[in-house]
Amino acid sequence: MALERVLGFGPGKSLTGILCEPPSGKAIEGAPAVITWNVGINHRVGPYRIYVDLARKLAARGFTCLRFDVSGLGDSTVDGQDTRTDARRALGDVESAMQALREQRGIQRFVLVGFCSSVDAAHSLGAANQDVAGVIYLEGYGFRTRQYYVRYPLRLLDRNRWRRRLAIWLPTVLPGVFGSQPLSIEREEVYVRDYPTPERFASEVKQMVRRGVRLLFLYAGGDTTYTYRDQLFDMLGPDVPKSAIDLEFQKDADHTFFVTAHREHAINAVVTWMVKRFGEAPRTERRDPSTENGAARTTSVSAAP
Amino acid sequence: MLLCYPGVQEYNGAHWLFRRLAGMLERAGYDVLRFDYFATGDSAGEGTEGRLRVWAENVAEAAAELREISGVRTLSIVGMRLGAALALRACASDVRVRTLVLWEPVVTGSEYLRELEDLDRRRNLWLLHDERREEPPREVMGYQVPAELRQELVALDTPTLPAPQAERVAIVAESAHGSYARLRDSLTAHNVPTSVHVVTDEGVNAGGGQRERAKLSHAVLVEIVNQLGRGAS
Repeated sequence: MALERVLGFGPGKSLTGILCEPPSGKAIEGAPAVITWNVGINHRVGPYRIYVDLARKLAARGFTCLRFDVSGLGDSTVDGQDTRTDARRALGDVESAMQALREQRGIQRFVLVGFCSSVDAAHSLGAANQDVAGVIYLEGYGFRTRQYYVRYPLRLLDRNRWRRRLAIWLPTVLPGVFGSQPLSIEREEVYVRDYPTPERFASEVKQMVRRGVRLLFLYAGGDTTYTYRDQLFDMLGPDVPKSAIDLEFQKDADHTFFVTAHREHAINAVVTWMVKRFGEAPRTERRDPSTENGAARTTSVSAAP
Repeated sequence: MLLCYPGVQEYNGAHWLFRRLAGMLERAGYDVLRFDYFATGDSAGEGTEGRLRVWAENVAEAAAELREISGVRTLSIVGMRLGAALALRACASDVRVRTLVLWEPVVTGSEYLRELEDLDRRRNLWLLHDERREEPPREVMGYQVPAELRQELVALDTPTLPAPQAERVAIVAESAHGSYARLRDSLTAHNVPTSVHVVTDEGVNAGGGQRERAKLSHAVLVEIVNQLGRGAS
């Protein structure tokens, strides 16, 4: 069973997380730690508790995980004097999480999990921080491609879209027959986001691939802007080799994996990928003298096949 | 002050609200404990393992823990939605409190389930999932509802619980639901002074459902803090 404890870290220990570690003797030596943080305004457990299940499964396979609240969300506090935007502050908070794991567990490499809005910080840090060994994009950026528009009319053949449309229309036009409550649901608010342009996204992914950062993209196909399996490769263009990227497409899942089976599928895909890419101890390590604070840092050079 | 979260389906949306309430109570000078029931939030256990019986025991355990770590002798509880029903159940067995605040309480489990299942049906329709054919559904609003938990929920009828060990009960809600009067009458019949407080917050216009507005309502939180203060005076 995984070992879980509360971890307070960051400036004045204002950030709160749950450190989930492998059972004694099960830890993979030199493996990167996995870090997750808030999806939208959900606190550290994630939508439908997805991060709790993910962290425990990863710990059972030998990986240390930290799931935490960025400042101002969940149980983490924010300094009233801090004038940075939420996006900027999140970057600093994830860096604080990495630092806490370095100091308290001696872990030097990290896999960042971005999910919807938290993809912004995961992607930015993946592109900029040399200690990030992998980035997992759950429902990350979806840019409309030519194929997206070509396939758009296929929506007309989707029975479930018609069911939804009728559930919105019928109570409005025939309230006596279909009730007076048309189908509506609160759309999740999207706050200010540091959304890259398609060109910048492709360029940064290319940089990460060159640097040897492992990337897993997991997209849901239900009612999102991601509508076919290889849309990512069309978004990235021909310069990024398909073999450098791992892609999962869950055609029937929705954006937050509302259905338990879809969620379990996503969790298993991430765990399988982690084992495949980071399940063996690094073969060689070298000291990298070019660190931000002058302190020595260990960088894996051959972590995965 | 012990704060009891609602059931899992309503838990994520309540987390921030509970943090706000805990902060207000702390500033008012109270020791506050909020906790996750077994198999919810950060607590141990898998989603399929949650049971009402266990969650009510968790309330009693949390009450004992709060007494031990804070050294307080008297305790009050705020329970929201299903958490209110769990707090009532805990107080009907071995937890003694000064004030029990039932916040938008779930009065009968079958009605609560119906409400969740209706939301679930609409959410699935919106998310373009195929119509679910299994009856009763094995999962509701993103969480599994095992048969044993479903049976417990269907059997839950708070007005028929034994008398809670509470000096007073306050029902706080944004609208006067008919079942609150039934609950109040049953508690009064047990000689537990019970009042219903309907709080409308004109300043809140979230554009969402009634319960969503209640979550944003500062007036509701102020009323809860006031009720707890009344119990202490």
